[in-house]
Amino acid sequence: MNDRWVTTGFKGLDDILDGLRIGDNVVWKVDIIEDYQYFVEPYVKQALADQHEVVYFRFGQHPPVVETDLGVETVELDPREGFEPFACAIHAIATEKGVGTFYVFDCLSELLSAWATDHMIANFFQVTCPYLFRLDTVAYFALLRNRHAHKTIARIRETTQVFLELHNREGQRFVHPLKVWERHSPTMFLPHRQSGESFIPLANSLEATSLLAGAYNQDQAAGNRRLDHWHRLFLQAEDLNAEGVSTAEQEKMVNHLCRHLIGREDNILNLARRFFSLNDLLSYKSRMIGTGFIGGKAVGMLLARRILEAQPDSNWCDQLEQHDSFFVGSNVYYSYIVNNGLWELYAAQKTPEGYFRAGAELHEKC
Amino acid sequence: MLTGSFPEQLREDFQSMLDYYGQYPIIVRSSSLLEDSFGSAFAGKYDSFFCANQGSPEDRYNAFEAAVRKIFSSTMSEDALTYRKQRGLDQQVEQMGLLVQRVSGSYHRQYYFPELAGVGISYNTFVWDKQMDPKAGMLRLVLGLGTRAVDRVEGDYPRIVALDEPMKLPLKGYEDIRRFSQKDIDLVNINDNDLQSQSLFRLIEEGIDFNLDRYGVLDRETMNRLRERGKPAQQVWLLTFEHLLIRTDFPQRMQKLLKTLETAYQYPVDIEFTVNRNADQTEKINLLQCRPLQTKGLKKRVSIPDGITAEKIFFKAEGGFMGGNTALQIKQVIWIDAKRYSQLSLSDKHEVARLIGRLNRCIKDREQQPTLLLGPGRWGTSTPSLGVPVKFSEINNMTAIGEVAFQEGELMPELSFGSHFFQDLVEADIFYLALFPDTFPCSLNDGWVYQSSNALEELMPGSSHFKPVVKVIELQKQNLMLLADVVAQKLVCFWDEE
Repeated sequence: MNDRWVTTGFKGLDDILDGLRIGDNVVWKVDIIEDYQYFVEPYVKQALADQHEVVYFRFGQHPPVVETDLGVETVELDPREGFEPFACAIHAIATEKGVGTFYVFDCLSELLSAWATDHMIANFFQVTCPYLFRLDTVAYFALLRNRHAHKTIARIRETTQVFLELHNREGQRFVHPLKVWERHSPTMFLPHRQSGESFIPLANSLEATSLLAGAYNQDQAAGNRRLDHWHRLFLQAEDLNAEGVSTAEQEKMVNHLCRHLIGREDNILNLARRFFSLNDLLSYKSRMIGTGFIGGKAVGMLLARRILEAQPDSNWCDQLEQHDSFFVGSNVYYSYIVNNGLWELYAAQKTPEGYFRAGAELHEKC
Repeated sequence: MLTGSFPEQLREDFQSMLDYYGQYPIIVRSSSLLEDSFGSAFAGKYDSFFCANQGSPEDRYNAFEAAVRKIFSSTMSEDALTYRKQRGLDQQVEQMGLLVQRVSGSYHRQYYFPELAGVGISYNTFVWDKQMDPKAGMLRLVLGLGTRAVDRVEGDYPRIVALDEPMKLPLKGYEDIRRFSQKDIDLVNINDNDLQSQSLFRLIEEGIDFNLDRYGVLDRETMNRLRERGKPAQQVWLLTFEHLLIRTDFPQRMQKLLKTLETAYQYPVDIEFTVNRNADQTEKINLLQCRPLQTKGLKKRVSIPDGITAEKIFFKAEGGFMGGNTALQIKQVIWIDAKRYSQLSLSDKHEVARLIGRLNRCIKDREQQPTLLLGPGRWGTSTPSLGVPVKFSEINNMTAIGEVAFQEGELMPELSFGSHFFQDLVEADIFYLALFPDTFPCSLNDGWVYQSSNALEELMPGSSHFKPVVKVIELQKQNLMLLADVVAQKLVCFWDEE
């Protein structure tokens, strides 16, 4: 037997996948969180029984997927502080724990409401997964079906070692492995129906069709999956703007968009909420490349114009030249760092020892 | 971060934006998360780049991408990292967004520039005249691109406008006005695909189609002198902006604009702007930037004692300082000898700047060791003959810096409001003062400096070469006080016996 072989804690699953390997990142795409939890539990129990250290990253609003009394170390994180602190904190813990630790992550779809964009979830996965792989860890992740842009799913699938579709049809579970790195069997990539402790490949095309077509239709019906969550959020805002809905509802949307577009500083946020209408924010978005914050300079420029134009007894509109600017969102900066393989250096720059040293290296090289 | 690539989708988006701007020059500006918020302006810490936007679409695209990379990379420059650390922002999330703007202006032959540009500040923290109201605000005004008003430029001066007294200048005499006026214009040269500074004299010689009588006056004296020397007849203009400041309501409009913004921000603000003219000659203001200005409050009352005897005074001045009301006990003086400095070679002048940087790093705690740095001409200039070419990070631990006029060497202080250096001083809470020892009522008694022992070699072994130029004086027992009263516009540095 391969000396890097590890069990999922679930015999039937081990049989389909030929077990896990040290270094595996396992992504479960699920209909409901409970199904993820169902497979997390035996994995964690077995890992603890085998004397592995298990760390649970807790950041979702859903119920915990790991029971606290098992002897797992739970690390609580607040993703609303943003991509960078979140990814850096996990990076730092992984560094501290070192080789051979087992990890469980809350459902990654929870990050959507905090970051408003799919794209950054893929970025997070792209920086975290290879690092955990190198540290000889095993990690469990989950995504909710129908929440993410195709592109995000594709990037995650490309990065991870194991990608499993888990369907739930009226309580009946089906496991459909889409990617199992360096493992093969004649039936491995067929959908499997759970039957007690074991999984039976759907040898019958009729059964496979009814399962997969249903899931596929559901996926298509859930809106345009080609778009990032970010764009769908603004489409929703456009609807609110066009329909002439209540001002209270519009204000709520203004507040929400300001949090994702304008920044975090209260003084500036308060000014933005006071002077920017939903219409304004939509027009800024239409001039935006990428996602995230437009940054302090852009906010100051737009805010100053709005303040002047809002003065009742003056004609600033006539005296001011229209702005003709484009904005590149701050997430483009992160994407640039991630896509060019600079993230680990970037994370090192966030430590006291690396602040100047890694900074100089980042400044220079690529 | 200078050679990375961008994903396909982003490249497409960049390309369609560039198609939108066409061949108009654009500017790519840093717009980070922390930048321009309350308390930290990051002035000049992150880069901005002009793209003249000429050449093939590929060239234009590549120039844009290069600018983006350079701005991303500037987040990790030593200067930016030092700034963030000093302000306790080193553990905060900093993300870089970008603001891309069409350069506001119009074509004049191959040159592209706005009629006017500048920086405005709603609270004039430097009022150089008792009649002036700091609340009226001020402008630094230039013809052409505003780069000249934002940055410190050698040998050239923007028009400083106190908005309540637009015609008052911190200058005396016509000769001074000529000397401290704007002579070069920043513009985009379409033929050279480049941002350039061109002398106004040369632009007129080339016959530029620009109506100068709105912003300048003919300098007949210079014209006569040129004619006497047998030079070909040419108009020479002196940019005083008189017509604009006296005959139009421009100062009032700018004051109103600044006050309106200040009221909404509930805090003094500074802005960058340009002014262009419609076909019907009406002026249109383009607001490029607005941010809260950081100033030290004026709460602390300082009263300068009467009758300090002359021999107790190191220096005194009326006006010419900035940093609010101040009462500081100085523990260390770093003195750059003007005459000896001016005689140094170019490379030694740069060495002096680096040496000051190293001395600056020795100051571990500004509170414990308040240091006054005094030197000839302008700190932070890029031209060593005009002053010591320090970077801001080389003086950021000083408590006060002084610029001393040295007439023989043409080393003159320059009070450049709204410049990056100015912003840096304000934000680092460094007191600024300018001394004109030859002009009453300013006085400077530097005899004691030459009698004090120089601690330079102890601090910096191997720097004895510069011992005659750089004096470091440690003050243990003596009580050297720096007092400034903003309302009375009085400044004194003296030996206090109490």
